[in-house]
Amino acid sequence: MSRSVGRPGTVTGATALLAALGGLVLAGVDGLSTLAGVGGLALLAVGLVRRTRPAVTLGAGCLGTAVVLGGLAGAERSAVVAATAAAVLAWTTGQTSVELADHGAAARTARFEVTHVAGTGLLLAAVAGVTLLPRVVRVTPSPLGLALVVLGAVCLTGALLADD
Amino acid sequence: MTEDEGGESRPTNRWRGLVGATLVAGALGLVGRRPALLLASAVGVVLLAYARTTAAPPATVAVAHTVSEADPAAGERVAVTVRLTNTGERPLFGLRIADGVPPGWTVVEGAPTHGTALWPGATTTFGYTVEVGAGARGLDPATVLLRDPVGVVEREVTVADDDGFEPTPVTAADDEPALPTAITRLLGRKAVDASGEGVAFRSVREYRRGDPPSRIDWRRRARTGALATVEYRAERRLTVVLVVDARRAAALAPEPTAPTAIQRSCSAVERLYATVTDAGHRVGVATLGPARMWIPPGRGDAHRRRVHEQLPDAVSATPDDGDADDGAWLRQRVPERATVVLCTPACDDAVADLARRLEASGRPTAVVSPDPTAADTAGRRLARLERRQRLQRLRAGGVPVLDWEPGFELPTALARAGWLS
Repeated sequence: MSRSVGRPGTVTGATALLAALGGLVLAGVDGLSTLAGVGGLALLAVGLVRRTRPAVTLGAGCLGTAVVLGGLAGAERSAVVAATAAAVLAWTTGQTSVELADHGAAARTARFEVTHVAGTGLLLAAVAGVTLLPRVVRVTPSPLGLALVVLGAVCLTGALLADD
Repeated sequence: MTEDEGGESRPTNRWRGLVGATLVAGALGLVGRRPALLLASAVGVVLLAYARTTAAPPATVAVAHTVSEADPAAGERVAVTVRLTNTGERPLFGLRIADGVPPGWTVVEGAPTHGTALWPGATTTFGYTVEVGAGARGLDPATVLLRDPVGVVEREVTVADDDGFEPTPVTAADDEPALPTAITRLLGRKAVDASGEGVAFRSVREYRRGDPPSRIDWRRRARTGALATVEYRAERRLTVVLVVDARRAAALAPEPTAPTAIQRSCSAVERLYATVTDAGHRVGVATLGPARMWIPPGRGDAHRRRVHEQLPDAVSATPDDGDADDGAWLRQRVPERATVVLCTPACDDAVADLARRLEASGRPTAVVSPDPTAADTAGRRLARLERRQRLQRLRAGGVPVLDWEPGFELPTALARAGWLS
């Protein structure tokens, strides 16, 4: 009989909490954003403990709100981007943790969870890196150029959402 | 080993809402002149692009089983080891498997599910122990879920094991009925430990002075010259209570046009009522829910008419506060040592607790559970998994459970589960 390694969802749950905490620290630059971040962290923790997906989603939504409020309050660009990635990491791994509860306490899922955390973390790190690349190479876009980039992003989003 | 390559890559929708968040962040960044929010929005756009363009891994997984006992009898425990191999050339980062434990079998150690990642050619194993139930001839095909590393797309396939566990039809020991105890009691005459003058053959023993001549095994006498006496199981009539879960939590169906679990439970109770009373047992009928109908155990034409008249009204009562019915009143009314058959979709924990408490109070309880779940959305798949886990826990607690799939008549479902002789 195979030996059991931890309870399913432990690795992903811990990652979600750590990511949420990181997002809170990065985005919480004023009272409002800190409050939203703390609420998000608490909801996420409740969702992970009670294994309820809506609470995890709501907690991630609060973290996203904290990121937006932090951005509006003047947080650093790199901090906002990193906080965004952290919120998405918390959301994604939190959902996985809740899903794995269905496997039962005796199931082994540690390898699956480690791979999932690593894969999601690498993707988000790469995305954050690409997003911050223009700042690193010190490109100062004109207002028109910035608007065109935003327009392009909206068009790309719309195209991604369109059915085949 | 066989593989099913037919599973389609489908989105898991776990980033539902990211589009709106991305657009809001971008708009606020633009209006508020906050470049940081525009960058946050860009993160969302790239993630959406990833979710849109990535595909689930191919179904290149092989499953093989080894078992401790290839020909187990009912009630025997069998250790099952499952071996997973990635037969493809791409790594499988997110691999989850639920092995096909048939209804009526109980997992007593370990788990029939597993989550892992496999490089090309790599193999992993996991194991569990099952207590073999009656009826099923072997393990059902395993369900395998393959996801990308992030989990935004998935592919679901079923994988059968051709050369693995295929026990012969389960046979019963001499002194045990071939059916699950509760249903044996329900559908036939109850067998008790003491031998007597019933009709079910039990054993042959040496003749003792005073044994009735009608019990002498005359064939043996002719063959060997020795006198022997045939013993039969003693029998007695039973009290059975059939319960319909008519709470709002049970008013569920896999699709809008399909009968609800309450309707299916109702039809099951009507059919079981006829079967059990025809066998001479006394039957009571109750409903959980707003009406809380209780017809004490009885039999005869008047009792039958009362059941047929009151049951439809009771299950169609308006569900005001019926969900608060935890069945405490029922536990007080069901006679001691009565056999209880609870017809419920088991979509919440309250009714599962009721079944366990009835069983624990010395009233043999069986659950007939019409399956109202569907699998067309992630939420419904989750609800299906939760229900299966609930039924599994009931079985682990010693409560026989019939998972009654839609599209089957009750006798067919009973036969498939091995609950009929």
